[in-house]
Amino acid sequence: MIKKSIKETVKNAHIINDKLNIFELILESDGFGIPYVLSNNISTSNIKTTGSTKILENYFPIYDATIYKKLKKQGFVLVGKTKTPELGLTTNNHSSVLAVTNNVVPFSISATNDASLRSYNKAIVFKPSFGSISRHGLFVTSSFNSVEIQANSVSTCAHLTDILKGKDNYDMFVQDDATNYLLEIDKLTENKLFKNKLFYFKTNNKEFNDLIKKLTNIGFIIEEIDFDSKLVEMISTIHKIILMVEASSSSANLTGIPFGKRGKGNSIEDIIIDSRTNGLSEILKRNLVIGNYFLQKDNKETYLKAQKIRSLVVQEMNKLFKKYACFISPVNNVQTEELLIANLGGYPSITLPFKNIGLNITSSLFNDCKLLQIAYIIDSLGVDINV
Amino acid sequence: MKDIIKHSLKDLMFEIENNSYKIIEKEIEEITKKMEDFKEPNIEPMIYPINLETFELREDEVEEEYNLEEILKNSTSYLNQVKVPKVIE
Repeated sequence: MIKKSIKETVKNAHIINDKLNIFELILESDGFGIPYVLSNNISTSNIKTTGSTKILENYFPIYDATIYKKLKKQGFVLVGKTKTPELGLTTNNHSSVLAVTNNVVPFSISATNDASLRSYNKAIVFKPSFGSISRHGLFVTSSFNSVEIQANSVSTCAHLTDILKGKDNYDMFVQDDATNYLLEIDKLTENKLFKNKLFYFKTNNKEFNDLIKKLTNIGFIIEEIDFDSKLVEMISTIHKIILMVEASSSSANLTGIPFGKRGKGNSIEDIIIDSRTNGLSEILKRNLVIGNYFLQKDNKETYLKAQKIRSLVVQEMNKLFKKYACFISPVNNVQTEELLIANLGGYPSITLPFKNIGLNITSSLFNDCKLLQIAYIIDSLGVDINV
Repeated sequence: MKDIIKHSLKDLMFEIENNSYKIIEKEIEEITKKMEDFKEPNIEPMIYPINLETFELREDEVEEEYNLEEILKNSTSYLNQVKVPKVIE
């Protein structure tokens, strides 16, 4: 199938030979013939989609994820599926980012539940607001689940958001959005940003501070906020509890009976147990047990408390977003609490690469346009503000 | 704790390796301790970033249909049905 797609790509490239600069093409021709990759936890009909889990090792979906359907309609050509953490739930994997940074494709799209891709400081990674792009066809959804775009420019992210956004009958959270992000990208209206007083990793603080100085010099107002450190320190814990509780429920359809690798047994129950025991990794199973533990009657108060702390974090952030356009934080290949805030609140968030560190910018829910405008300015001055 | 984990395994319908019990137990203890140390906020719990009450359900209409052959190709099937062991004696 991939060979066939590559053949199609080459054929299409010949047709549009006079416009072979694919970066320009993304902006000018709505994607005709442009190759890209999707992470392997996004449903593509008749193309093997394993979610990097053994139980789906020979799974060929019968339906297309909404985002894949939209990209196909625009003429983009899928040339591969990238490795993901198992069902988007285990350890980090940056394959979809590397496909872009190594110039294999001009952009890639992933389905994630955390901030691992945005923690990589060598590529532009954009997470649109929760409810902006349909999640239909993403494996093992959670309330943190979102589509992320990896690209070589902020304007490519804006253009792809224009293509992928919009109401979808298969995802009740997604509403119509008339904004044209690409047209609005150079119309910056706000320049007031905030950052946390503390950083959650110990290296490269000087480089980040130098970067802040340079942003101030080009006209941004950046103020320092003293976050409640006890609250911030709870973020990864509550993210883990909520994600694993939700995943333990949404992965229950992986039985090996209607689809997936079937195990052995003399009863349906035995087949399911064997399929799941051998089809899911030990690390994933441990996480699912933790999720199920906090769903049990005696422990559910902890789960409820985690959801309340999530509310508190979002409430505090929303107060700040009334005063500031965006929140900025350093990125250094570590998934920090600050990056996970975007998952908790469903906020739009983008990571921009600089010389040795990255800069993450996060805005309030559905303020994707404002976020992309600020990112566009910073990225377009990238050469000058490299530290 | 081992019994509670076993209860979870029954719900989740899989088995784990023996050494996983201790790893899970340790992690649950750490999470529980951290959660206990934080005062419970007096606030509504957040389920989704967007309030579900503001949305309407779509009409229950068939938009796309799949043929049986396509649906069954990912399973062990027999005579156009998913094949499972006998459940009635």
